[in-house]
Amino acid sequence: MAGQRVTAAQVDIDDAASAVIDSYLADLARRLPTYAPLAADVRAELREDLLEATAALADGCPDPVTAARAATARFGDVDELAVAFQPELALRQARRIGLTLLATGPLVGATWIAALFLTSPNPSSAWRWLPVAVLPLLMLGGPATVLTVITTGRLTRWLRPRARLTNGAVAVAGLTAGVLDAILLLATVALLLAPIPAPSPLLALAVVASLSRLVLVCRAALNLLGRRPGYEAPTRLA
Amino acid sequence: MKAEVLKGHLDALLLATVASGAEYGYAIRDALYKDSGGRFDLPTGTIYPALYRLERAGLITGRWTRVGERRQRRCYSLTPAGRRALAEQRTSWREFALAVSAILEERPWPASA
Repeated sequence: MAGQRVTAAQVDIDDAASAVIDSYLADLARRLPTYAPLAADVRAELREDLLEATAALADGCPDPVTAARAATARFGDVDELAVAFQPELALRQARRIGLTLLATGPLVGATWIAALFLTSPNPSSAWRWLPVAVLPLLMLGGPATVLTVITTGRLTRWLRPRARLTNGAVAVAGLTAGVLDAILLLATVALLLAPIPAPSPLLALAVVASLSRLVLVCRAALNLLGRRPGYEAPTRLA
Repeated sequence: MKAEVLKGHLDALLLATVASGAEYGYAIRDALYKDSGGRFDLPTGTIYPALYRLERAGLITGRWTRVGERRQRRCYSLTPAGRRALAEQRTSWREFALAVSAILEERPWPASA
């Protein structure tokens, strides 16, 4: 069965047929909300399989463009596909954000601790209130990040994925990380404005780390809030 | 047969299809169609979200493999957990099918004493 199939590798699919497939995938990507983007690897997989389907259909059809159109038709209506892909792609995006925060959190935290307490044994008054502001955020953001990763991973084998819980967890995780970084950056400004500034390379590194994470969190937040121009929510299947 | 009929069974069908040797999305859809005698005619695209769900759950694993000189393809195979899950699903399906058949088969009402 699969062994007899004409593969895309054996049949040259011309540019016009490839354009039909690319246009179809672009159409699908446009119909997905920004919080569930068509990831590059998913797009690559769909493209390869569509080329494969085109090659198989081109076997009995001399026109590759017609074969490509037939392959996309068999693949499914883009509105229906967008509805089918959306939950999975949203979970994937939430997991990506959760894993990034989980990986960067300890690194950013360790950099700040090193910058503040190892290089300046007598931290200025601007830093003394930091634990009071930071600890509650860590206690909220840490579990939210872990929850995001847990509810989008292998545990879904036993637990039914709950989009609302995951979305809430990733929103809290991102928000607390953003506020945390903003507080640390503001405190740094206060330190630099103090009569005896104590800038150090480690502090600069911590600032860069927090700024990078803040940019990441802001981008994720914009994705969660925003919609692509021209995006229309696909009609839900009955 | 409509796609809705497969709701709740698609994961097991996909696991069984991957276990039978169909490796990538298009081939899996094709195998589902042919092995069901043309009854399960799903739009190919709807297979992928289910495959990603199974992969996220650790029941299948996907890897890119080279096909020819220019192309590559994402192929799926069952993980040990996937094989166990398939065996469990097969057992529970047989029990379910036996029970439903026992009820749906026409038979005379037992005569009361």
